[in-house]
Parts: sequence; C-alpha cells; structure tokens
Amino acid sequence: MLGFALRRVTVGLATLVAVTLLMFLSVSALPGDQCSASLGRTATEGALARCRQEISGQGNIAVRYVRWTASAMTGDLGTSHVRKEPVAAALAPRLFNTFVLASVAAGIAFPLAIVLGVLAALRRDQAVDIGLPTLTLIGMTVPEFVSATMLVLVFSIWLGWLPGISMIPPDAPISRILPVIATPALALAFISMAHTMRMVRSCTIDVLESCYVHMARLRGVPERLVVWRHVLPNAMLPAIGIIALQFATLLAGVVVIKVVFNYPGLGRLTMDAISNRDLPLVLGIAATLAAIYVAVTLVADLLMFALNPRLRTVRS
Amino acid sequence: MNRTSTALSDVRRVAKAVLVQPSGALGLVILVFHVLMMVVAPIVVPYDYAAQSASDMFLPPSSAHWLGTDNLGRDVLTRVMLGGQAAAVTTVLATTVAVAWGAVAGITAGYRGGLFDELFMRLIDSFQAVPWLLFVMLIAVTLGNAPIVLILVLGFCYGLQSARVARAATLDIVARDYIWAAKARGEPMLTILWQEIMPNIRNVLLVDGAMQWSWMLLWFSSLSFLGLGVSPPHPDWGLMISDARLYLTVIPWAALAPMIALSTFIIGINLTADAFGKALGIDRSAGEAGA
Amino acid sequence: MSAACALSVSSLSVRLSRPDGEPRFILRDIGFALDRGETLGIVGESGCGKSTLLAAMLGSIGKGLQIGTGSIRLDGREIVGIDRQQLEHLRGRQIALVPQNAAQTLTPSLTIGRHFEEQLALKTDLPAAARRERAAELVATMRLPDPAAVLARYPHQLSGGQQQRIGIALALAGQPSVLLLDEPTTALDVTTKLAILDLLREIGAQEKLAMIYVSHDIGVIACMSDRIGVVYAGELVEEAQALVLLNSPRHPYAAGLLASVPRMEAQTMPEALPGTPPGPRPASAYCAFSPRCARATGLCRTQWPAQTQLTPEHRLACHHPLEPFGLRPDRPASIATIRQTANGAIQAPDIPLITVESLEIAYRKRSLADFTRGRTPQATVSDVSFTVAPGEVLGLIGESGSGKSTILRSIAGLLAPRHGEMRFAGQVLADNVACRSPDQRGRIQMIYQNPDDSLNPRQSVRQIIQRPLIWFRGLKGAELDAEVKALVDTVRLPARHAERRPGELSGGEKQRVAIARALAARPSLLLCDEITSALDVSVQAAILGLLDELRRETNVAMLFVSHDMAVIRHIADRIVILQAGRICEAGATGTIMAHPSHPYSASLIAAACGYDAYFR
Repeated sequence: MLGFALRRVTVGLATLVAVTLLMFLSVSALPGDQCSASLGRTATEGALARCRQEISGQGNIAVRYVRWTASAMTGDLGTSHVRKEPVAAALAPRLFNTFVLASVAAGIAFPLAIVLGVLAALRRDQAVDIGLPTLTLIGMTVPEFVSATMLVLVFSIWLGWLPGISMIPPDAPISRILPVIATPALALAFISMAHTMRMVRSCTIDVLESCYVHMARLRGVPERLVVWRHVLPNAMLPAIGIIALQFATLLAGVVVIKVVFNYPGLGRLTMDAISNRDLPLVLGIAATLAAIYVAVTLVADLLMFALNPRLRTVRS
Repeated sequence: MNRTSTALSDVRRVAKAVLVQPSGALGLVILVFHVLMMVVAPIVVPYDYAAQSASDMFLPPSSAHWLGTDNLGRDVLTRVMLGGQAAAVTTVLATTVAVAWGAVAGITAGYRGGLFDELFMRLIDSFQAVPWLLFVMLIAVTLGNAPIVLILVLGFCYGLQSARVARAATLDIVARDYIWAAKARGEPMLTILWQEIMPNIRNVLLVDGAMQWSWMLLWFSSLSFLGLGVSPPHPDWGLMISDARLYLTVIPWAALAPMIALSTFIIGINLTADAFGKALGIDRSAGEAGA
Repeated sequence: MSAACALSVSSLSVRLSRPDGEPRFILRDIGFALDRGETLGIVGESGCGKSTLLAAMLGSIGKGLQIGTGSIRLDGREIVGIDRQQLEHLRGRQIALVPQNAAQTLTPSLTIGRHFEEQLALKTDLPAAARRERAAELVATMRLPDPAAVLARYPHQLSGGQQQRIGIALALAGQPSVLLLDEPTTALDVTTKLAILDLLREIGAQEKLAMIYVSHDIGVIACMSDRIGVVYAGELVEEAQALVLLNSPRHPYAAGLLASVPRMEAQTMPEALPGTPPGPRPASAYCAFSPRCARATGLCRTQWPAQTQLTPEHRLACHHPLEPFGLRPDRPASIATIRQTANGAIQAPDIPLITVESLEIAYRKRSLADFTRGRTPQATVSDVSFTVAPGEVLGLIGESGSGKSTILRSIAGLLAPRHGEMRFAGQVLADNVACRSPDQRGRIQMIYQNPDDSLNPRQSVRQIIQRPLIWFRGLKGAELDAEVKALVDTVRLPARHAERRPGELSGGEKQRVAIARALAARPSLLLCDEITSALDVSVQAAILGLLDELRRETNVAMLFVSHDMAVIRHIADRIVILQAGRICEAGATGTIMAHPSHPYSASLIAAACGYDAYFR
C-alpha cells in the first residue's frame, strides 16, 4: 500500500510539473511579451521598459520557472499586475466559493446518478432505461450554457421557483452565498449527473453480464442478494474513479456555467484574468486547477486501491 | 470489381442498420435538415443579418418576423439560419486536424508498443490535468480568434482524445496473429499499417471523429458564448445566446431560437454517430472507459 | 423412469423464440434418466447444444430461447415452468453446476470463506458456527492444504487448479443429488486435470451423486462416465453404457467422432469426419447427420429417424446403424505406423535444416517500471537447443507457459532471443525478421494457433493467399490466379471459397486458409503453433491428415508444437519435451513413448495413455 501510494504521489507531482511547465512556456512564448500583455495597451514606454528590465533581471526562462515553482511551493504564486494584489489572495476566496458550489452540486448529482444508473442497468430495455438515456443525452450533449440559460428561463423567470442571477462579491460570507447557489448548483448537478449516470450504468451492466454474477444465480442465490452482494460492490469500484473525475470537473472545469450565473468562483476570475491578460493570475489559476485535478484523482486512486482486493492483496 | 461490389454492399448494409434504429433515423434527419439549411440559408434568408433598426427592437414573433427581433432590431430567423455555418465549418476542419494528428500519434504508439507507448500514454494522461479551456481562451485572447488559430488550437487539444482512441484500437489489432504473419513476411511498416491495420480501425476512427465533432461544436459555441469565437456582427448561435441572455425576460425567443438550433444540431450528430457505432459494431462506452 | 430417478428428462426440446416462421430447434426430443451414483457423459462437436442442455436443467436457458415441449424431473419433481423463487430454491440444493472456468465464476470482491458462508447459509440449515466448520471440511475434502488460509483468501489469490477445486466444493455445499459438470478441466494442466478427475470420481461415488459430464474431450468422458450420450445437432443420437459405446458405436456419427480421436495405442492416424454440424434446424423430416453420412440413403433424407431401444441400456436414432463392433474396418497403415515401427532407428540427422543453440528468451518487453528499477524481465525459455532435418517433423511438447510458442516466435524472427544462436540451412539466422534475407523469410513459415486471429477479417481468402505469392514470388495476373486456385485446391477447399472472407468460414476451413498462406511462400520449414487446439477433434483429424500428406508430397520439415501427446505421437519423428522453459527430455518419438526417462515425460504420457484403457 505504501509503495503504491508513494509511486502514485510521484506520478501526481510529475504531472503537476509537466502541466505548469506547459502553461509557463505557452505564457512566455505568446507574442507581445509579458509586459505589454500585463500592462495593457495604455502602458507608457517607461513602465514597459522598467517591467522588461525587471523580468530579464530574473534570468532566462528555465531559471524563472524554477523560481516560480519554488515560491509556488511556499504558497506565493506571484503578484497580479492588474489587480495589484497577490495571486494567492485573489484566488483563495473564489476557490472556497467554487468548492462550496461544487460540493452542493455533487451532493445532488452523485447519489442520484448512482441510484438511477444502477436502476437503469438492472431494468434494461424497460421504461427507466429508455427515459434516462434520453435525459443523459440532453445533459451530455447540450452545451452547458444552453441548459443553464434554459434553467433560468423556466424555473426563475417563468415559474419563479428559483432565484435568478444575482451579484455577490467574491468575499461575501457563506451565509450570503448559499441562498443564491441553488440555480447554478442545479445546472451543474444536471450535467454532472448525466455523465456519471451513464458511466455507472455501463459499469453495472459489465458486472451484471460477468460470469460470476451468472454463476451466483446458478448457485441459487436469490436475486436480491445477487444484486447487493455480487453486483454492487464490484460495480461501485470503477464508479469511484468516475465520480472523482466528475468532481474534479465540477471544481476545475465547467467555467462557462459559472459565468452564466455570475457566480464569484474561479470561472469568473479566469475570464477576468484572461481578458485582462493578467498572466501571473492566469498561471496561478492554471496551476490551481491542475493541482485540484491531480489531488482528486490521487485520492480516488488510493481509495480504489484500498477497496479493491485484487490490488490490495498480492497473488500467492 | 469484386472488391467494389463488396464495398457497396457493405455501405448498403451499414446504412440499413443505421436507419432501422429509430434514434439513428431521427439523428440523420436532424443532421440532414441542418446541413441543408446551412447550404440554402444565404439564398433564402428574408433579411440582412446585420441590418439594425431602432424601430424594430424587441418585436415578438409576427408574420414579418417569424421569430421576432433582437435587442438591436435584427431579424432572429435570419440570424438563426445563418448562425451555424461558421461553427460547423470551423469545427469540421478542427475535427479533421484532431483526428488526423491524433490517429497518426495513436497508431504509431500502439504499433511501436513497449517503452515508447508507455511514455506516450503517460504524457497523454498527464495532459488530462491541463485546464484546456483556459489554455484555448488564453490563445484566443493573445493570438486573436482568426478561424485558423481556433482550428489549430482546438484540433491540437482534441487530438489527444483521438490519439487515445486510435491507440486503443491499434493495440487491439496489433497483437493479432495476422499482423505477426505480415511482420514475419518482412513487410514494411507502412504496408502493414495501411493494408492490415487501417481497414480494421477505420470505422472506429470515423465514429470517433463524428463524436469529436459534436464535442468540438460544444466547445466552439462555448468560446463564442464567451465572446472568443466568432466576431460580431457575424451571426453565431453561441454569441446570439450570450447577447440575448441579458434580455431573457423581455425577448426569450431571441435566446430560445439559437438554443434550440444549436442543441438539435449537436444531438443530431450524436444520435447519428451513436447509430453508426452500433451499426458497425463499435462499443463506444468501451473507448470512453479508458478516458 | 420411476420416481426414484435423480434426474429424468423426456422429449425435451428447446427452440429459438421467434414468433414468426417455422420454429428452429437448438435441442430436439432429448430423453434420458439418471440414477444416483451414475455418471452420464455427453459428447458432441461444438455447437451441438451441449451447453444449452445443461442450462435447461438449471432452468436458465438464455434470452431468445424457450423450452418447446418436454419435462425435466428432479427426484420426480417437474422443473419446467416453475417460477423463479422455486428455481432459486432448487439450485444448489438439488442440482448444482461445476463451471468451466472457475476463475471467472468466483466473485472478486468476496473471500472464498464468504462464498461458502453464503452458499451454506442459503442451502443448509446449519447454524453459523457449524457453517464455518463445514466450509473448512469441504475445502479439506478437495485436498487443499490449510483450509483456514484458503477460506481467508480472495479468488485471485488462488491458482487455476485451486479455483477449480473451490468451484467443485461450492457446488457440493448444498448436498445436491445431481451435479452438472461443464468441461471443468479444459483450462487446466494435464497433471492438475488428472487429480481433479480422480477427485470427482471419488466424490461422485462417495456422495452417490448423479453426474452429467459434458465435454468435447472424449478421453475425459471415457474415463469419467458410466454411460455416454452422443449429441448431434441438438439430438441425442445414441446413448449406451460407456464401454459399449466406446468400442461398438452403432450410429455413424458416434463412430466417426470416435475414429477422429488421436490415440496413444492406435496404429493408424485419426480419421477425419468431413463436413460441419448444421445450425438451429427446423423440425425437419430428415436425419440431421445425413449430409455428412457415408451410409445415408434416400430414406435418411426423407424420414427423421426415431429413437429405438436396442437393449434396455442402448438407444439409437439411425436408419442404417453400423453392425456391432463394425467400427474397425482394416484401415490402411499410414506413415505414422511406419514411423513408429522404425522408431529407434531415427537419429539426429547429419545435415540439419535448422539448428537452435542454447536459446534464452524473455517473452515480456522491458516496461517503464523495469527501466526505472534497472531490472530485466525474467526469461521464459532458457538453454534450449535442438535441430530439425529437412523433411523431418520435430514435436515440441509442454503445458501452457512452458515456452513452446515463445521458441517458435523467436525462430520466426518475431521475438529476439536474449542469448543463443539460430542457423538455417547452414547460414546464421538473424534475430530480427527484418534483418533476414527474403529467401530465409519465405522458407520459414508459421501457422498460428487460432485461425480467427491469424486471418485479417477485412480481406478475402484470395487476398490473404495471394499476398505471399506477390511478395515472395512476384507473381502477377493469370499466373497469380492460377497459383491461388492451386493452393485453395491443395488444402481441399472448394474454389468458390476464394472470394469469401474469414468470417464466412468454419474454424477448420480458416485453418486450411492459414496453411495455404504458409505454403504459398514455398517453405522448407513450417512452424505449427498448436494449430489444432482451437478445433473440434473431427476437424483436428482432418488437419493432421492434410499436414501428413503435405509433408510426404513436398518434403517440408515441421516444428510442431502441441500440449497433446496423442496428437504429437501421430505426426512427429522426434520429440522435445519442455518444462518451465527448459528441455527435460528429447529423442525419437517411439523411444520416448516406450521408455520415458524423465518423470515429467512419464506423467505426460501416462495422462494421455489413460484414456486408451477405455477403448478396445
């Protein structure tokens, strides 16, 4: 177990290095150097020159990457030129908000997705399994901003059941955020549920069609026990990985939906950083998103390792 | 001669297998409708897509404007009919780029195998952690949103997924004894790839390409929605939804029309690709499980 | 068929459940009865309905099938048409199945102990404490050491043989009266297989079980059964006491099937049974075997033969049965006989076609993990040397994992050995096929184990065969067409098959195409990698016959790999016995068969000879 954990952590760290390096290189290689990008078109010649000197004083790109990495490890992701505040300070409250939103969405989506996915697999070719894929198809293929806008149109504007889009500052206390979270959380949950359910269904079907489930039936194990004892534990194992990936997507992806609802999370910040060409902030966000992905998949892998007897125990 | 007749009968058999599936038939009808619309739209649209009119702002659907007008007084029907072309063309080209480089990379990795393949997969795996949307947005902002830039960037990002699919398909074939037999004859690698492997994975790549196209459309319209795709005033569904969103309470039709158009287009592609996959005996979920 | 019968089946038919058109049958009019303590062996080619018969007795015929008519009685109780709860109750308690591949039939998330606990809790009235004891007792009965440790393990922690024993023990947990065995030893090594068969016989007698043993391996059936039933196209064409049926089959199909089995003591090559069994048939009015039957007359083609009772214990469905003991007409002595009588005389030849010197091969390529830890994968084959003379057949025998296929791949140039040298026709043979001369590549040709895998499904038979003709011999146009035609004819395929794709051919036909492809390059050495093990015995005999003929006509040498002593014996001049990647014995076939010097060779031979005892 320890050996596996160590190996997995090493791979995670290597991934993180690879991703930040890629982002760092693309940020540096973009035309119009960093200074004109970050200071904007209105920058004076003097300011530009000062900025360039400052950067070249930091050495070549390799040195700068190493420095950036070193300070990133201490929690210092640099300073946003545009916002005039440390990147970490800009990120922290929004990361928290994103986490709250993703957790609420996950709390709705995953239990539902598991129950419905398993049901669809068990009742194949029946009404459940025909209705649900249709819903899944819509959830998976329709762009997220379309389903989000649709949600607002139907439930906020026409029916008035949900709060619409509201403006809240990023550092608002959680008591102010929670009431308006319902609509974006539902939109996120719908999309996430579609993906998760589809995967859970296919995992469950794989197990249902396995030899050992067939054999359990032939041994005369009652159907209820077959499902609970032989099918579910084996189907849920790969589902952990799927759910982890979906949770990482809820946290790090789905930028657009957060823009639709004007939610003060990472999505909004990303948009701002990019349109302002706030490169240190872009880099900081990219590193954070990659770190989230790596961390979530790492936890899932360790969990799967611990729960899977095939991996946990050695062959004798 | 014999070969062409076999190929023809294959095509006929597949087409039949697609059309007998209700979802396949529906998808194909939607897809054909959209493509026809895109072709004839420039000739038949009733208004100029950019013509603004202060007197015609926020009009509800009527006989003059079947789908009403938007906040600038432009005809919504005209813009919806024209709003798919840019996205469709750009994404088709980007998909071609993605499948082309992805297939080459994936097939090479699958064929070479061993250490090379393992390193390649590790690289692809770690790329999963890259926030690609952020990457694409950054490029679009700094390099501008010229179609060629978007085609190449989207093509690059999506090629990673294609590479995965192509590699999995190749790995499945490369271990078969007929490939070993060809190697034992001393046939050159390209002959083996083209004569022995390609015919067996062609269908997988085609169906994957179709799926990629639908994801690509999704991304492209997201970019447009964020103002990074098509430049105004050229009509585009994503952009139209973004604009109309601010007036959702006043003119819901201006948002609904492009939303329906975009959604049906993507669903149509999906249904068709799915039906083709089933008809050709390709299990799509198997390919995804590796993703 | 008194109520005392443990199992009685009468006029059972199973058909495809298609509402439209004529019903098509998978099983038709099957009837037999089995008492406790009796074993009925069921044989037949693949696709004859053996598995469906077992499934029907468990009340679990697949989707798309339905029981047409008939009854199945367990201890006098009808089970056709009973509901799911009643079936669940019966399974495991009255009737139990030992599956084919136990590894895949044990739930990976449950320990062995949990499997037993579940079965005992459901199927017995034992209290919890007694259940644990009983589980350990069952495991001990299977002669597994340290039952407590076994119970604590997960399925993947056991070896194939151990898993199979657990499969049997689980089936016995509910003390059923009827035990169904579905090829339970196919996936096992010879030695394990013998041990399990012994165990099954012993338990069957001890527990007075009524057993049905289904297998395509007639040797296994012969040593397991009291009675044998022969199934063809879903019909029970003959059923009799084992010794009667084995030595005096009356149905031409039964006789043909038995004649195709390679035997250790027979003086003749196994005889092929031409043709393939039909698919699901309508309830037609003719004998299903008549298209393949040499004795068929107009009567067979117009009237379905009803089952007749020859003696109380011998039933037969045939219009023109063979005479009792009519099986052995004087068959011509084939080359195999001559080779055996000449045995000791064959020596290692002076001018070998191919020489292999102290070969060491690792099957696995180096992985990233190997690379970072600086280790090298373990060798699968080490210190292997042998020679093959022109026109000679060298048999390479060993169990799965003994490295025999690995050696062939190295000789074919597909897997570079780590050490050692190969010389072909006096010249050094490069490790990598790309570094060999076209002449060398053409003269060494390989035929693979599984024809499904060795023919490109997207190419027609013509394309497959003409590729080496173009590549090695540069043929074009009419010459090419003529040569393809000649090759198709050489391997006894109808000319029209040239335009078909592999998917449209049967297993035996596919293997013939693979042979034709190898012959197209005009080889002097054929590498045959278990080329008959994926085929039915009847087809195997035909392929062996074809190879024997080819080598007499073209004087091609062969390196013939197999796990089956009886097969090797009929085709090889000399044999090399491999165990765990090393040669444990080598010599002339006859010498080794008569006086094996290594205990491992002796056990392989004993395993194969065991079956012969049941034949006349």
